[in-house]
Parts: sequence; structure tokens; C-alpha cells
Amino acid sequence: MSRITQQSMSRQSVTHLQQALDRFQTLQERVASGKRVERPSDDPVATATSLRHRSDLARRAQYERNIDDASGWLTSADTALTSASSLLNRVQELVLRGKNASMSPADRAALADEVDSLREGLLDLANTTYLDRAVFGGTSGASEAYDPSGTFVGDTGVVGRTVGPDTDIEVNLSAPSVFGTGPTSVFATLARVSDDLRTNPAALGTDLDELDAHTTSIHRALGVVGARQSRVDATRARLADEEISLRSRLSEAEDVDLPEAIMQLSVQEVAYQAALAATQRVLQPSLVDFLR
Amino acid sequence: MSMTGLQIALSALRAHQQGLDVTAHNIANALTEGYSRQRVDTSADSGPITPALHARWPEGGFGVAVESISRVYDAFLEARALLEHGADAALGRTANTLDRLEALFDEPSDRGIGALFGEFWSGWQDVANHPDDLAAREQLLERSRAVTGAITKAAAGMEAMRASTIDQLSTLVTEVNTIATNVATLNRAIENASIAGLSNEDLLDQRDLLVRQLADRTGITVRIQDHGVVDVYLGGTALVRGSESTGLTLDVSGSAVVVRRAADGYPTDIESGDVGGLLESVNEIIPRYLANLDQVANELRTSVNGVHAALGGTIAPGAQDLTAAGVLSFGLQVNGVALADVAVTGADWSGPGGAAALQTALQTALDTSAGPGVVTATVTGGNGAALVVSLAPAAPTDLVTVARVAGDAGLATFLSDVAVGLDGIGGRAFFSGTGAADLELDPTLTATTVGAAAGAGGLLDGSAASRVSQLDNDSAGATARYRAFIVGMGVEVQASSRRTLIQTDVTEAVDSAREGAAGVNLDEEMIAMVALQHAYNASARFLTAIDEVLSTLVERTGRVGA
Repeated sequence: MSRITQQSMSRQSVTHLQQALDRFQTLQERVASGKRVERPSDDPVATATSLRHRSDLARRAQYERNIDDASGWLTSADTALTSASSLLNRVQELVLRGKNASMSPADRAALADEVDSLREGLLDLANTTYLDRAVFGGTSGASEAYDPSGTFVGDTGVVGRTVGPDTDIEVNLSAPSVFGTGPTSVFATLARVSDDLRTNPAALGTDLDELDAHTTSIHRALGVVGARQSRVDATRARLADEEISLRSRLSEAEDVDLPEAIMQLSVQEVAYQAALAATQRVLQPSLVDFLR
Repeated sequence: MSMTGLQIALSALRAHQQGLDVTAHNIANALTEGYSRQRVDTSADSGPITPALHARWPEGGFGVAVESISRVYDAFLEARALLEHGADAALGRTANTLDRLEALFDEPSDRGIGALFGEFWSGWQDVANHPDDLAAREQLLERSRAVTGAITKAAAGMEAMRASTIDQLSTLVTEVNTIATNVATLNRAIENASIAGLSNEDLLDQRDLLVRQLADRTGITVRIQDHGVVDVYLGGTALVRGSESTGLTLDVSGSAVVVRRAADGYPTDIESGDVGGLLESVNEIIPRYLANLDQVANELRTSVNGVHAALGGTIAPGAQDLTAAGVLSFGLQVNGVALADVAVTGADWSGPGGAAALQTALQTALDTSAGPGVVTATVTGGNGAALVVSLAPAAPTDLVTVARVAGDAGLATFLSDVAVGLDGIGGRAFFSGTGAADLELDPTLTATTVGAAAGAGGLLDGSAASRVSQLDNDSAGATARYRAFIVGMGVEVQASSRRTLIQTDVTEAVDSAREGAAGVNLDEEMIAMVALQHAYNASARFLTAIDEVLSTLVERTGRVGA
């Protein structure tokens, strides 16, 4: 049996009280802050998880902003293309009426005027902007995709939005494939329609075929835009789901299980009080108290 | 009957008196640090054990003789305690250093470098989304400054820690020198007292306390010599030998801090004690973490610059089948001055030697266009792999811009891959510096060039910015390295604090054992006191008895009939 001395007893008591108080304080801090991991050394594994999830969450927040932007682009394009489609339908109606042999040249001239104004409207649609950028202008810095004469002044650069790790969604359409360029552009066709209505009604049949081709390419573009929009929507939903699961995993990694922590805190409190009581009992008496 | 009884009683009274004194001394020093309890060694005085001629001794003993007052002391426990204390102090110091390092990085949180990295990469995506938006560019620059600021601040914090640790070391070395001198002085006093036959127990205690302090500070071993003198050894060389001590000096001239003997400049290997722990912190731990942070900073700098400042690109294999003589042609500007177009008429560069052929052709064209040696072309890869083309201005201050002019369809990859910096200039670094301490945004960088492309497609192409933001996903990129850095630090801090706890327990146990052997137990002293008191009382009673016997003899004898 080892010899016990007053000094070693008091020193050990202090050490044990210190340890108990330290545990007490750690638990108290945890309950107060709600965090289980305050410093990397508290739990290196949880820190790794926490750091990763935090950067994932930051990335996800940015992806969501990108998706909002992509959605804005696609909605602008969709609106423009839908209007363009109905506008072309109207032109087709006018051409069909113009083909009617009973029409007088003056009537056809009136139709041609309307086609001219429709062409202006279509130009406006093709120059639709989103946040001051021409939606069909590619990556060029030009403020419009087609100039008033119907010449394409943009480029065919791809505008992409990052919606996931290494996942980009194209949000723009190459204008030449939608509205065409030069003499084969829809604007050139409309100009020709207007001319033919005024001077050469016989050519209207060919114009009608060209109009059909343009309508088809616009419909195809609408399909593409719709498909991309649904992909964007799906990605948005997936990101929202992932965010919930990421947040819960992050919380699992670094947050305190409150009921458990509070219970541990109470247990530790009792332990500390017990240690104090024991110390009081042990330190007070010595033989001095009993020798008279 | 002689007067022996009085002598015996006297010796007993003296011995018990001394016993009581020692008990009182023990009780008085019950809480004195380093005090070893003392006890009176007595023996029965029975006269000479060697018979001598004509010498006759009466029967029985002569009472009690006080041999010496000795301290209760266990040399083995003491040596063990010195060892454990040294180890404990060293571990405590390294744990403290690691703790402070950890506190430099506020992780995991929304304010640490990890979070700033996230915002930085997001900033690049905002620029990619809106290359024409000056606000997005300014925001990116600000976020970049936040990242570089946090990294340089952490590096500066580490440097400051190292400097303050060196200050601590120099104070400690001075302290060690003082203590060593005192140990030597006490050694001399102990030796003198011992030779003169005086009690030196308290001097021994004082000296041993100083030796323990030395053990805490530098981790030492001792050798006990004659007359209670100890020699103190430090890493194989004597710090104190008898009444002589050697001073130590701190040598901070080299990259590593070294403790040397003052007398001959011989380096002393100290691995234990406060000094050992601090030396490890200064020479090993802090430089290692600084180097790791440098790696993070360098990875960030080179990877971002690699995309941002790239003046070149790759030509994918299969795209350069130039049997029909493709043309690589692009416009070039040096310091904003447009030069003649660089045009290279190609052969098949995809085969063996193709890279060298392209490099030669490109260099010739560049020399014609920009002047000899102004811009250097380097081509690697080829022979089945992608051709990597890069252009570098000879003078670092020259700003070389590549503009898309024309190109064979197969070479368009090269041209569209040319990244143009945030300010519309290619070949300019985004970050500059050589490590973590001096990482900064390139000072010439601005966000104000309106309409500058973040990539080299159309004016509003943001693909280069987008590519920079993708560096975030690189499993060996700056973000991942930083994460590994923090987690590695957490593991080391945790392991170190566990080791320290274990060592503290061990030290505590050894201290308890030492205290158990040498410490004062009040109960024991009380019992000794009571026993001595009783013994003293009995001796006094005996003296009274002898006194009465003698007085009977003196006063009553020869008075018959008186």
C-alpha cells in the first residue's frame, strides 16, 4: 500500500476538481453554442465532413443563382419564340388571302403593309434582351442580334450556365439556326413576301413554302428551349432535395444532440458537486481533530 | 551504581527533544515544495564494541545516541520523475503550439478561409454569367482580396508565433543558466557541509528542487557523486559538474534555432522539457504548417493563373490532320500595339515530331510578327495526345494579347481556348507572390475594362471564368488541399492533446509515488509527536526517579540514630 500524504491528497483533489470542471465547461459550451465541433481537433472526421458539406452548400447556392439566370434566359427565349410563331402564322394567313385571285392590288398592298409591320415586330422579337443582353446574339457584345435590315450581327458563341459540377446547360440558341441569315433569313423572306404581294402574287406559293420552313425551325427551337427549361427545372428540384440532405448531414456532423448534451451536462454537474463534497470531506479531518 | 542513570536520562531527553524538533520541522514544511520528510536516526549506545586493555565497562547500555538526521528520499523515483517531467513539459509546449495554430484558423465556420474560398469560386461564376457586369468583376476582386488577406494573415500569424516562441526560448535559456549556476553553488555548499559533518538535508532538498526545475525546462539526467553532489547532464554533455556550471546560448542565426554551449559553441541536442518542446515548435511544427499553407496558396495561385493567364491552348488530336495544309492564324498585340498576324501553314502536327515542327514554325512566324525573341512559343504533346501551345512574352512586363483572327476549323480549339484575363488582357497573372505570406492579387489587375471578355470567344463569352470556377471541384485543387490541411491539423492537435493527457497522468502518478515516499503525512507526524511526548515524559519521570534515589542516598545514609 502506498503512503498517502496530505499534500498529495490535496494536489490530487485539485487535479480531479479541475478535470471535472473542465468537462463541465466543455459540455456547457456545447449546449450553449449548439455546436459539437468548435475546432478541428474536437472531431477531425466530422470537421472533414463539415468542411466538405459547407463548400458543397456554397456551391449549391451559386448553382441556384445560375439556374435562376438560366431560367430567365430560357423564359425570354420561349416568350419571344412563341410570339414569333404566332406572328408567322398571321403572315401565312395574309399570304393565303393574298393568293386569292379575287384580291385587288390595293387590297394586296394593304396586306403587304401589314406584313411589313409584322416583319418589324419579328425583328423586335429576335432582338429580345435579357438583362441588357440580346438573347439570340450569342457571345458578341452587340446590343442586338439583327440590325434593322435583317442582317445577323451577333455570333454563334455558346452561352452556358453551370448548374452542377462539370455540368453546363446552354441557355442560348444559335440565331442562324432559328431565324436564318442573309437571303435565307426569315426577315429576307418576309421582305420578299411583302414585295411579292405588291408586285408578283404568282410567287406567293413559293413564299408560303419558305414560311413553312421558317415556322418549322422556330417550332424546333421552341422544342429545344422547352426541353432545356424542363432540364433546368429538374436540376432545380434536385438541388433543393440535395440541399436539404446536405444541411441535415452537416447538422449531424457538427451540431450537438441537444437532449443528450443536456443530460450529459446534468450528469457532469452532479459529478462535479459530488467531487466537491468528497473533497470537502477528505481534506478537512486529520488526526489533529481527534487528539486532545 | 554510578551516575550512569542520569546520563541515560539525559541522552533520552535530548534524543526525544530532537525527535520533537524534527517532527515540528516536518509539520512546518508539510506544504513546502520539494521538501522531503526527515527523521532522527537513533541507536542504542552500548559502549565500544571493541574490547580494549584495562577498559572496563559496566553492564547494560549508556542510553540512546542520535546518529544523524536523514531525509527520506528515493533516488530511483527521483530520476524517473525528472524524466517524466521533462517529457510532460515538452509535450505540453508542443500541444500548446498546435492549439494556437489551430486557433489561427476559424474552422469549421462561416468565416474561415474555407468559406472565403467558396465565395471566391462563386464570384467567378457570377463573372461567367455576366461578363459585362462591372459589379460582378469588382465583387470577384474583393472576394479574391478577402481570400489572399485571410491566407497572408494566417501566415503572418504563424510567423509571429515563431518569433514569440523564440523570445520565450531565449528567456528560458537565461533561466536555465541561472538555475544551473544555483545548482552548482548549492553543490559546493552541500559538499562543504558534508565534509564538515554538518546537517545538509535542507540544502539537498533545495538543490533537488532546482534540479527538478531544470528537468521541467530542458529535460536532464543526473549522476549522484560523493558528498551528496549531483552532476547534471543535458543531451550527453554536462550542464553542471560539481560546483561548475556551463552556460547555454540560443543561436537564431540559421534557419533552425539551435541551443549551444556558451563555452565552446558546441550544439546541444535538447528534445525534452520546455526548451525541447519549444525547439520542436520553432524548428519543426510551425515551419511544417507554414509549408503546408504555402502549398495551398501556391496551388491557388498557379491553378487560377493557369486558366486566367493562359496564352495558349490545346489542339485536340484528330483535329490536326493537315494533309490539306491547315492554317493556324491569329492576331497578336504587345502592350496594346497590334502586330502583323501570325500565320503558320501546317503539315500534320499530330504525328511524331509534330510538336517540335509546330513550335519551330510558330517561333519563326512570331519573330517575323513581333520581332526576334519578343514572344516565345512552346509546344508540347502531340503524337496522339493533344498539342499544348503556350506563348510567353520575353519581358515580364510586356502584355501579350492574342485575338482570334482566323483559323482552320481544326485549329479553332486552340484559338477559342486562349483565355483572356478579367481585364481583357491575356498572359497576365491573377495572383502574384511566392507562397502564403505574400499571396496577393496582381497589383496591375483592374475590373474596369468595360466589355472585356472573361474568355476569348465573343466579347461576352465567360467560358474562361467558368473554367476557373470549376477548379473548385478539383480533388487536388486549393479547396481540397486546404480541407486536408485543416483536417490534418485537427488530427495532430487531437493526438497531441491525448498524448499530453496520458503523459500528465504518468507524471502525476510518479509525483504521487515520490510524494508518498518523501512527503509529510500529518497523521503520522501527530502519532510520532504523541509517542515522542510520552517517551520524553517517561524519561523525565526516570530522571525524577534517579533524583529521588540519589537524594535518598545522599540525605538518608549515615544518619542512623541521628
